[in-house]
This record gives sequence, structure tokens and C-alpha cells, in this order.
Amino acid sequence: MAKSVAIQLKGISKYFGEVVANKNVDLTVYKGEILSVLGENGSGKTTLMNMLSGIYFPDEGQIFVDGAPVVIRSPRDAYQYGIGMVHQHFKLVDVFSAIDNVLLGEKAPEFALKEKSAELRERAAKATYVIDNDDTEAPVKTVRQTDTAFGRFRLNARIALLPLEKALYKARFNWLPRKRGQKIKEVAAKYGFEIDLNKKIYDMSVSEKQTVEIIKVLYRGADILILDEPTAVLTPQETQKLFDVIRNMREDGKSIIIITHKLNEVMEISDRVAVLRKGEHVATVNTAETDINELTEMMVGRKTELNIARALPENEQDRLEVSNLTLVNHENVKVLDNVSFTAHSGEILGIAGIAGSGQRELLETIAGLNRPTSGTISYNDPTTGKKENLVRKTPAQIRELGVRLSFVPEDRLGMGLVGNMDIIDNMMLRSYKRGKLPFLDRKNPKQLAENIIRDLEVVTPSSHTPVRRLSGGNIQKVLVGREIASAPTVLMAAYPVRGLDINSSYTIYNLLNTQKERGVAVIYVGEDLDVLIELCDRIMVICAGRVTGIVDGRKAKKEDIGLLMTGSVEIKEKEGCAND
Amino acid sequence: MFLSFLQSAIRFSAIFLFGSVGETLTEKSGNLNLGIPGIMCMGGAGGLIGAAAYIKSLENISQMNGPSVVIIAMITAMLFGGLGGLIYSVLTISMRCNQNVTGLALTTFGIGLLAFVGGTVDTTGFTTVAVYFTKSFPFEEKLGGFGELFFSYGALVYIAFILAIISAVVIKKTRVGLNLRAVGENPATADAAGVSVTNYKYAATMIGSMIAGFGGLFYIMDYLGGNIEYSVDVYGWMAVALVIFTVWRPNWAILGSIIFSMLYLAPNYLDVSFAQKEVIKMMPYLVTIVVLVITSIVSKKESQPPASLGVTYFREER
Repeated sequence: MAKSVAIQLKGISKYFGEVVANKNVDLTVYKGEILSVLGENGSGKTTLMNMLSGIYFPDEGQIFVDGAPVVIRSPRDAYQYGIGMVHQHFKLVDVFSAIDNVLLGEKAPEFALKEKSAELRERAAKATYVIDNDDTEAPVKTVRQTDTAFGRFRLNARIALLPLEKALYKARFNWLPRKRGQKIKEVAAKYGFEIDLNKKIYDMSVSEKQTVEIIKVLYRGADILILDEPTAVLTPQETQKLFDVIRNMREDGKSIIIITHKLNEVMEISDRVAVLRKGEHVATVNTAETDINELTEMMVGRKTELNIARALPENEQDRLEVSNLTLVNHENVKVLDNVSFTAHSGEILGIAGIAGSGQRELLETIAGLNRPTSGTISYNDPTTGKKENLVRKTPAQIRELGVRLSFVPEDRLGMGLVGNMDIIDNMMLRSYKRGKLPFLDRKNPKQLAENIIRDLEVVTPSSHTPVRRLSGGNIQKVLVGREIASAPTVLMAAYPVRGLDINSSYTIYNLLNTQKERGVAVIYVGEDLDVLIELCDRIMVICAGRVTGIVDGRKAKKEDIGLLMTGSVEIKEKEGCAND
Repeated sequence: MFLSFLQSAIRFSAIFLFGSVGETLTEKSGNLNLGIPGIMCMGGAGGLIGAAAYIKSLENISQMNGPSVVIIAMITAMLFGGLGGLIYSVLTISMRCNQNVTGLALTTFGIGLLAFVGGTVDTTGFTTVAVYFTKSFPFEEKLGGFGELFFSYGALVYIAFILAIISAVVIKKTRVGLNLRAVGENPATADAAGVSVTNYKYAATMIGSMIAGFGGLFYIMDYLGGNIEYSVDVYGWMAVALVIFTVWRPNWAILGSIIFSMLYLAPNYLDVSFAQKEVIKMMPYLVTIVVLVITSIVSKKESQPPASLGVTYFREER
């Protein structure tokens, strides 16, 4: 099959402040092919595709559709060029049926008055009557419609009535027809979707919702479909069905781009693979000519030296023992599957894994925010030497024991800090219960706030500034500073350097290292493998809620961790440094 | 006796119907407009100003043209109601103020405006205007009871019923309605699908307010016969309750408003003590609470309020 280019990206770059999301990316997508875009978390896959679908606008570079340079500023623009994206978080109205969701926002094709009247005139000018005289003598005569008075009247009347016709057309389009689903059903049948389109979204499973999203994109006439992690929420059977549909779409000449980090699926479905690393395009290879090992190496890259100071752990004691922890969330998905590990005092335990593999849930469960379905979490109290089971305790009781969660989720202000309150008030969130009088003690929190501002070099006009006005790094410092101020015994930090520049990141690493030297058991959930390898003493890798291995941070190789993250390899030993 | 009770209940239901149809349209777009009672007052004030201005322009009251004065008063009531909606929209949609606070402030303002206008406007000739507002079909009397029940009302009552039916059809059967519902349910989704959330919210809130404005006009000019009374906001609150009672469906509001006005008027037709009267007048609110309890127990998704009701939409907040 002769390949013709559908989309071409040239020199695309995107920056968010100082953070580089994409740098000088070149990518070509052909018609009738399935292209996988592969990369670690934060490698810029989704950002790149969002620039195609009109969510973001590239800072540099040019996009070509069918060879012509285009500017895509909104999802509507993207639709116009036939680009449709199915996001990870579905955009559907719950109380609508599938059909209504597909019809939502559809605009009537333009009723062009001028063109229509010109067309009528043209047709009338060509139209002729044949006048066949019965008086045999006279020849057969042809007359133009525009030559007769009646013909001219008919034409002018038609043209004069066009606005009315337009109004009727608009009204008819606006009326939701009883058979409004017909065209949508045809689209669904064409690609082999099995779905009841009259079902309400709230009755649907995740896979059905995804199907509706794909049908929506196809119905709007997209020729290039971008699917963001389409299999993340699907069962293996559903995944196979989806792949069948994707292959049907390829047969139909559509281009499909799949954003993924699941290597086995890349090998199964795609024709070519584009690998991104840290926002840059590494290579695009034909799937048939590569293998999982080569792709992993491209994905994680060579090790880079970061020179983060790392002391040897001293006086290690078992601080937190988690065994056989299982958590089923309210959608009946096993988010944690039989997780067992031990966190030692005086060491940093790193947790690596693809985003959404259960890191967040694990920390939340330890902090008492989730009640596990089964398993135990036991805590060895360093002062009393007693073993405490954390599963039955409330978050407040767990905090009292010295287990601190400095949680930094997607939005920094979501958990932990209140954006509209100043630094002092945010300090008080942890201390307001102290003291017997009903009045608040503002003195000590003020002292603490000023200590944090001084020690951690928080850039702020004063301790009275609302924290939402601070930059990301400074907010992070305030949050971590407050958590370590209460002398924790276990400190959990999730993505504490996300979105921070290099210097702020190092400040945070140093903070964690100081805690480790004080004998705190630090649990660090990170994204950047280089950082994990240089910062952590041990690294636990989880994949889809399961622990696939715990490796020694000093000996581990990046590629091995990469393979563990994707679940391609598993280290069976419960504990230890099985990596050699 | 029962016929005249039913007849006055249907007539009185118009004020609830205007208010609740206007509020339903507004709420369908996700705006919880608690300013509706005030906007009804503003509509009433607008009607008074329009009628007074028209009368002033005449040399003699006897020159008054019935249809003209009715239409002028309706237009000014609509303008004032729409103005209330515009204030609410600018504050909550463009400036992202809190919807509840804005609505309550607007209610206070509307009540004050009606009191001010009612106290200053020249009321000469209003009773004549009221005659035109209450003018019913000429053949009403020939049809006996049937005529009394169906053809004995002024124009505004019929307009209320027609607007309720049109609103129901638009919401349920057209793409405009589909998009409007999506805006109220999930504005981010509607936005992504290319629906202009801001335009829909503005339009729904302003049209809803215009419709509600008729309620105040109807109460003063038709129901009270041109005598100014300032208690329009009481019926405005009942209209807001009625929206919940009818689970956000304008067609059900027709029945609901008749039930509400029957409950409200029943004491006048029964031989009961003052205390009993007040208890019966409480019924609409009690019934609304019962409906709220039932819908939340049944928890059928379709009878829930629009999912993003009361939430200000802001695209960059993801």
C-alpha cells in the first residue's frame, strides 16, 4: 500500500513555565496505520497529542495536515481537520443516552443563501422547455425558462423564499428527530461496535463509555483518532474487542494514534512506534523490526548523573510492615493486590511505577484514608517498642503515632494546604486542636512559619501571604516543611518535586535526606527513575497494584526497573536485592 | 362553589407558573437563581411604569386603547425582568460571584424596587388597565360552566400555559434544549463538544427572568385588579419550591402550579379558623419537602437537579 502522509509535526515545542514538556518533536503519521506513542510518565506523550487535538497550542513548530500547514487553536479546529481525541477522562453527560451524547453540540451544515440563489439562477438559465406545436408546420421550439415571464416569476419567487427555506431548514435540524440515532447506528455498525445506543451513560461500564467516546469522534467525521491510554481501564477481553475495532478503522483508511506505556500491546496492535523521552522524540521504528527490550531501552534511556548526596542508612529498624494488603475501590477494581513490604527507619524507600498503578492508594491506605479490603499494616513504635496495627485506626490516631503523609497529588493545594489562607493559618491546620482554651494559639504557628520561611528559603513577601500566591516550589516547601516540623517517624511524600525547577527539587531531596539521617522512615513516590536511583536506598516497583519487585537503589539499573514497571518481568522474592 | 374554586385556582396558578417556568429554564443551564422572587417584583414594577407612562401620554383616560396598554406593560415588565436576569448573569457568569449571594441580593433589591415604584407611580387609571388585563373571551358566558373553566381568564393566564408547554418542548425535543441540559449537567463536556456555555447560560437566565417578570405583572394588574400590593416575593419563593416539586419539568409545572394555588386558596373556600387556614397555607412547602425526600430516596438520575446546579463554570479549572 502506498503510504500517504496524514499528519506531520515539525519542530514542535511546548513549555509550561520553566518546565519543558516537548522539545523539537518531529513526527509523521500516515493514512491507514496504527502508530503507538510510547514513553514514561511525564515524557510528554499526552501534551504532544493535546496540541494536535486543540487543547494546547504549541510554542514552536508547525503542524501539517495533508501536507498543508494548519493552526489548531481549539478542539473545534481539530475536528475541522478531521482530528479527534478520546481522552483518558471521558467527557460525557451522565443522564443522557449515548445518542444524545453524540448529538451534543452538533452544528447544522451551513445553509449558504448566496450560493443557493446563484445555483438556482444558473439552473434556471440552463433549463429549457420544449414547445411542441401541434400545428405540424411550425418546428419544435425550445425556450429558456428565463425567457418567459412565468419562468422568471417562478425563479424570483424561489429566490425570495430562500430565507424562509433557510429558517425551515434550521428549525428542522434543531428538532431532534425520532430516528435521530439512525446515522449513529450506521457508524457503530460499520466498525463493529456492540453497544446499545439508547442506554444512559450512568448505566454503562467504563468500556461502553469509551465506545461512546470513539463513536462520537467517528460520527463527527474524524480521520485521525488519538486514543489516550485506551486500555488502562479495560479488561483483557474488552481490550481485544477494542483492538478489533481499531483494526477495522485502519482497514477503512483512518489513522489511529495510541498513547500507551504497555509494551505488549504496542507489539500487538501497532504498525509503528514513536518513542518519547523527557519531551524529546527518540526514534520511530517499525514494530515488526523491534522487540520489547529495545523499546524499553529507548524509553528509559541511559542513566544520567544527578549527584544527589546519599548517605548509607544507619541503625536500620523495621518501622512499618505492610503485609498482603489488598484494596478494592468502589468501582470494584483491585487497586492494590496483595502488597507486602517493610519500610526501615533511616532509609528512603522509593516507589516506582506507571502513574495510577496504586501508589496514591497505597499511601492513602497507610495514612488511614482508605480502609483496606484485607491485609495488615503494623507499625513499630520507636518510643514504646510496641507493635500497633494501623488498619483499625483513624487518620488522626495514625498521625498521633508520627506517621506523616505529605501528600502532593495532581494539584498541590487539593490536599494538605488551603490556598486562600496564609502560611501561618496553614501551619495551624495541624495544631488548632492543641490547648485547652477555645482561643487559637497563633504565636507558635507564627514562629514555625517563620522558621520554615528562613530555613527552607521560601520566597514570599511575608508569612501572611495566602499560599496560593506562592510559586509551586514554595508551596511544596511549606507543605513538606510543616509535615517534618512535627518530628515524624514515617514520612510519606508523593511526587513532591512534580512541576518544580531543578533548584527547588534539590531542596526537597535534601530535606528528605535530612529526615532519613534523623532516623525517619521515608517513603518517596517518584516519577523520574534517575532521581529514584540516586536518592533511594531501596526501590519498590509496582505495576497495576502488584509489587513486581524491590531492588537496591545503589545497584539497580534503569532498564530493569523499566521492565518491572511495565510488568514484563517480575522478581518473585518477597524482599531483597535480587537484581544483579 | 367547587367550579368557582377551581376557576380561581387556575387563574391564580399563573403567577406560580410564570415563576417556576422561568426558574426551571434558568436552573437547566446550571444557574440557581434565587433572585426569582425579586425579579418577579421587578417585572411588576416594570409593568406599573409602562402602564403609568402610557396613561401619562394620553390627554384623557377615556382615550385608552386596551391592547396597546396591555402590550406596553408586558414589554416593560419583560425588560425589567430581563434586566434582573442580566444583572444576575453578569455577576455570576462573567464575574463568577457566588450564585446564592447574588440571587438573594437581587431578591432584596427587587422587593425594594417594587415598593419604591408602587409608592411613587401615579396610579390613576390602573383599575381601567386591569379591566383590559382581565378581559376574557367574548363567548365565555354562552358556554356555561365549561366556558367559565376554560375561557374566563385574561391573556396572561393563557400566555403562562403556552410558555410552559413551549419550554417543555424546547427542553425535551430540540437540539437547543439538549445543549442547554448538557450545559447544566456537565459544562466542561458541553464546552468540549463546541457548545458555548456562556451564551447558553446568559440566554437561559435572561429568558427565564423575562418569563418570571410576567408573574409580577399578572399578580398586580390581573389578579389584584390594579391595586398595588408588595407581597409578590412570597409567591416567588413558592415558585422556586415548585421547581423542585415538579422535578425540573415545565410541563409538570402546569399541574403543580394548579395544585399549589388550590392549596393556597382552599382556606378561603372552607369554613375554618385562622389557625387552620395558616396550616393549610403551609401545605405547598410541606409537599415540596416530601417530594425532595422521595426523589432523594428513589434517586432516579432523571429526577435529580442538574448536576452542576449552583456551580460556577470556569474553563481553565480542570
